[in-house]
Amino acid sequence: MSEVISLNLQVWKQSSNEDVGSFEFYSVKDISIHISFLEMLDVVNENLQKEGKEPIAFDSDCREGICGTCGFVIDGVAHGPLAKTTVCQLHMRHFKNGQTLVIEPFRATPFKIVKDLVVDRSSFDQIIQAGGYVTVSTGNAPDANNILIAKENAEEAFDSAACIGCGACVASCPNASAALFTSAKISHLSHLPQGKIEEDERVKSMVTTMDDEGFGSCSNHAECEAVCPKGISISNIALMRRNLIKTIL
Amino acid sequence: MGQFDFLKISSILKKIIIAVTGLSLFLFLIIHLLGNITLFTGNPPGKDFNQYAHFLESFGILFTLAELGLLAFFLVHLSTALYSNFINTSARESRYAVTSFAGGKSKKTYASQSMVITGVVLMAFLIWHVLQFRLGTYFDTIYLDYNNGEPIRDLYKNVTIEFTNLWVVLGYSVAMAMLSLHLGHGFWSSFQSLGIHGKSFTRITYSISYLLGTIISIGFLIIPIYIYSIN
Repeated sequence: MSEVISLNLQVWKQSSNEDVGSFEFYSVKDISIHISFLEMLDVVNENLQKEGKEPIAFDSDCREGICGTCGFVIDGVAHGPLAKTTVCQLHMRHFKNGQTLVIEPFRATPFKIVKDLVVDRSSFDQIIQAGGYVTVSTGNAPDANNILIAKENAEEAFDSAACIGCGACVASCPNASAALFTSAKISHLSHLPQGKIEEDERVKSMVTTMDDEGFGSCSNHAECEAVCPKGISISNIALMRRNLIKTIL
Repeated sequence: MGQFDFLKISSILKKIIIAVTGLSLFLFLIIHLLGNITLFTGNPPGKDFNQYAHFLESFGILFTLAELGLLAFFLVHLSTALYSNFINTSARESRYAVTSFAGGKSKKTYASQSMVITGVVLMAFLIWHVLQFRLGTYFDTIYLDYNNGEPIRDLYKNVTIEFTNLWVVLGYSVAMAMLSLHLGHGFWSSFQSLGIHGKSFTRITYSISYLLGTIISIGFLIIPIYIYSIN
């Protein structure tokens, strides 16, 4: 097997959210199969800069799959074809020589396009601010293990807390719904005694903010779970609904 | 504050309304299908079916109320779904050039993405169906051993006349194909919308959902095909 591949990229270029945007074609050669997708784009950008052309704008930070900064859609799948993987951890060995790839930003009305593949996900911050917190007593640091938490609860809370807020759930949802993200945050805190105090208020205000930010409603396609780099389950969405029903009743 | 703010209900509440009405309509379909069995029994043919229809109508005002209730369920189900779909469409103003299926744990199918289309087609079908049979031509018949010899509506005749028309049978076939897709996603999805989720529960409801939709649709479709084939 050859260690290098050539690719045809069809990348979305858009100078701002107001701009119309269109696809730009790039033919890239001699890409090592051992580099990540983002490193491949780095190589493309380096060459573009040498030619005096504008590079492709994309977001990235940790490049370890844990920060949630990177992310775009490759051939209609958020974060590309590999399950439970962010684009920064997606290596070129998963692509074929000569393959054509269509690269688009995460598309949703609340995610304004900053430039090319960079989108503004601050609407997620609004949802977090609406209820993603717990009340703690001030004063001396509490003793360790002061509040006992059953192992199952701790694990379920941790599974939900694994959400890195990358926005792939919204991007992949046919309705651009933020239900998986919002429910992961709700579920994370709901499973812990510290989160019980604001439980009712939290679900109401986070769901209201989610709707107000302009996200769609969840129709249970579960595509979000399939593309989520952390494999967050739609059982979180069911929990969010149960919590909301509880506040109504 | 907009003019239509009173219509603003949570996206989750909308889904709960769609799920509750959807499951109720699903239950109605089962009852309807069981009632249709009477088309195949009775001597002379149609006697059981006509007596069953007459029995339902004999409830008078209660029957009318039940019919109106059913109509309300359909209208609430449809209008909430259309309203929800309107918001969903505006949640993604610029569409993707390429869409795909991620596979794995995804439950996104062509059926799940076309609930609005299949739903609207089914509503149009329902109007036609009600016009054909519920409000269709009134034929009289007399069963001497029933209802003191009073004439009752010969709905069976109505059914046999309609289903000797190939176009009607084809129309019903299309509608039932839509129904199987609609129930296929709708059944398991209703439970999820109501927050009823469990590892094995969701696995089971999902895996039987499309099967159930197909079985029910075939169950209904047997009638026009059978009647067409014997005439």
